[in-house]
Amino acid sequence: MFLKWLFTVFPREMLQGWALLRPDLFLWLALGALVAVASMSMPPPSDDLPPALPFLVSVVSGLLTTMLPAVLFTAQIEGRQLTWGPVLLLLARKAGPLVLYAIIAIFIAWTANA
Amino acid sequence: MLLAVTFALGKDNEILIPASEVVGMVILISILARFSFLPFLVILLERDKLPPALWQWQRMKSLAPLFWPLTAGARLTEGSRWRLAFYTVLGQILPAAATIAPTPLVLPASIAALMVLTTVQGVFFLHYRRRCEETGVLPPTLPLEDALVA
Repeated sequence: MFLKWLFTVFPREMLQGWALLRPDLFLWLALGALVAVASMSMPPPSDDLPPALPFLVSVVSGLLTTMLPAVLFTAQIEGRQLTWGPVLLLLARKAGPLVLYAIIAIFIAWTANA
Repeated sequence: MLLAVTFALGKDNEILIPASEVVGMVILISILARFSFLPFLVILLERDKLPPALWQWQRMKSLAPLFWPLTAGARLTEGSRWRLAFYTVLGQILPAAATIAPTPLVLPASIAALMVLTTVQGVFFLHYRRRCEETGVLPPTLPLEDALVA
């Protein structure tokens, strides 16, 4: 059953997911490059504070790649164009709650694991 | 988890540590899969747009509204968790796999891994939309109205 799913449903779902990315591919590639460069410029974990700029870029780009799919995919499905100002305001308003709920979710998962 | 596996296998069993690691990882992934709709719920919806059955608790009802995205996320993933768990595993493995590429290829491999991760986000989004339709949640457009141009 799993193998059947793996070779039929999984590729189909990935193609459907890819179709949502394709119209904004350059934006996703740019964000991906930003996240990758920011994470590569971070030093290995230690007791010292990480350098401010790579840390800030890493946090902001990480948040954007987590939050933007909800907005851009909705616009894709509804076939509408976005203006960036209100989108960024919406993301700024929702970033705090999202981070808070994500921390709680990760805490629950790690507590169960421990 | 280690305690539970110790009780199940016996204290001196050699497979104790690997077994507890594996079971712990399965539990971790299954819980992370429950919360895979979290960004969509927090960004696109408000609690009053959801039927109470999706977020209300049987006990401590006054606390339930505070945790509505977590409860709603867990309930919306019911019935498709093993599929979502597979994608969650993919999301955990890919970034780590990219870092073990040869040095000149680490950057392109990381970008490719992030592209696949965003594709996985697209798959989560499509599952989320389907579950919203099945549970009678209104299409999540309201917070975007100002940003959308017809």
